[in-house]
Amino acid sequence: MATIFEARDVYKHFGGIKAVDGFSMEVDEKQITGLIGPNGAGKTTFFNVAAGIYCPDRGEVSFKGERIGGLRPDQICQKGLTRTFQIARGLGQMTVWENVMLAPKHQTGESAFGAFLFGQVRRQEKEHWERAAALLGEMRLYEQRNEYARNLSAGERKMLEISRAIMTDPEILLLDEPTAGATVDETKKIMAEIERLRDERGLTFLVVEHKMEVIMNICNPIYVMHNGQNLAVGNPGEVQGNDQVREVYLGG
Amino acid sequence: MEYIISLGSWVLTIATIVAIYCILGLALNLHFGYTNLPNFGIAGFFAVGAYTSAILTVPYRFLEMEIFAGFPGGIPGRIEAPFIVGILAATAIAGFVGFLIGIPVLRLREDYLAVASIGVAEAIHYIALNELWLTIGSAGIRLIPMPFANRYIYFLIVLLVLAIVYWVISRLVRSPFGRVWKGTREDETVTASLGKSIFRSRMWAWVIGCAFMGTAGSLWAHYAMAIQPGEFVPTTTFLVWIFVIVGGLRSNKGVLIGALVIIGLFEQGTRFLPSFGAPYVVPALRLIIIGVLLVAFIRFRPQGVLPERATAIERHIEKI
Repeated sequence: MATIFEARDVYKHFGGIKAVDGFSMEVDEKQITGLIGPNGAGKTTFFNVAAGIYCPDRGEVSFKGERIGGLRPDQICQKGLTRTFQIARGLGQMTVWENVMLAPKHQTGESAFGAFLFGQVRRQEKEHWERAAALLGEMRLYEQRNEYARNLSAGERKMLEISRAIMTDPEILLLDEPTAGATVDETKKIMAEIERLRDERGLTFLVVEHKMEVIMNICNPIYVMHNGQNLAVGNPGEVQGNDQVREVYLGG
Repeated sequence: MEYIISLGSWVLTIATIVAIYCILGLALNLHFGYTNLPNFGIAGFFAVGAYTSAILTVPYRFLEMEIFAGFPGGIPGRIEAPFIVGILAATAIAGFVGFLIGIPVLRLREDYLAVASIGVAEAIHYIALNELWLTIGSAGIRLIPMPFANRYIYFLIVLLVLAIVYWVISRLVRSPFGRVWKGTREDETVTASLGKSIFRSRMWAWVIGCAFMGTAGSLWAHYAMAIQPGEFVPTTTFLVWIFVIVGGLRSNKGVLIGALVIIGLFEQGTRFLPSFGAPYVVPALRLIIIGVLLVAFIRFRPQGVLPERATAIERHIEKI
């Protein structure tokens, strides 16, 4: 199994706050890797470093053997790494279909002159919409395609965000609490969708989650982060059996 | 008979001015409504366009007059280019000035961008006032030729340009590029995380909008046939902001309605009121009326007369 994403000794401090403090991890191709830890452990900051929103103070982040630490978010996405956000950030004053159609890469119509290549733009829009419509159907968002995103429920917004990320055709998806705010039903749907994408499209996932049923069911291996550092790593059984993990996170 | 002629001429004047303001409004809508770039420097780009076109097209006769009056002589009057060159150059140069200003300014957060753009417009105003070799200074440039020397034909030209600008902006906003603009407006971080370069897309929206403000400037110069630095002051900018907000931000049709109401009112709003008090009282009322209207809209209908409407995907696929 090849490693597709790697972080080595990543540091990100904000003044005296050591958000990420020498964290390392490896994500193997076609795996769903979990990242858990108590609130404030540095998971989201680590995601922000990986996705280019922050530049790491020290350490290396690499994707497919190439250093990506310090690149801009759009450059990192173009390379095949897409992330979602903890609090679903729908582009509210845009419709559901506009949200998903924004995502595909290399659209001819995305330049001042390209927008006037009528035939090509129309063909691409049709192609992208075919894909997007199927995906929205899968995510049970098709009926709401012409709604503004701000009118969706919290769970629907999560589904929309994941759909949008998938439309970028990534090789690895970094999901920051993909089921936060989702109902039990939606949570199951999102879990099934993640596994299906892994199996059918060979997508790789790195998932931050607090819901234990999600983490323990679909993630392997699982990294545990505490105070910005590595606390433990292993399969679900090993992590659950780890005394330190129980103490700082799982409780009891 | 005479009354009919003067009425026609009055309608023509207002219609031409409204059409020119419509172009400014559409450009601002592109900047602020679709891309969230609060441009408070409209008057500056309007001036760049007006001066570019005037300097290029004004006849040598004007330079002679100035030299005779003791002015050493500069560039205006030496080129005598036709109108079409003037308007194209005005568009290009206003866009280029926008590009140069955009490099530092577009990296700013929106509130700082607003302040910086006012500063830029004031700088342009002072250049027009002081660089005599280029602009003649406070006296301004006169004898700017009107194409065909006919106000009716000229009005049709203005309408044609407005139609082109409307079509180009509407097409861009509907296109995938417009989607990126809207994404940038809604949430920069998300849009960047989807692989879109924020700086590049903002820069294009900025340059296109600035260029069209230059186009409007050129149309104004050839309509008024005389321009001076005193016209390109923040009041012009605020007037455009007001009618875009009243008409409906993010809606190009709303902008046209807003321009018709507000500019019509501003230009002629107190014409039919009986005069009372000192002679300056009644004209001053116009600004008060417009101010009250703006406050009322922001309080009771912030989305404007015609707000943005969502397009259904089925319609989009059909129209794109």
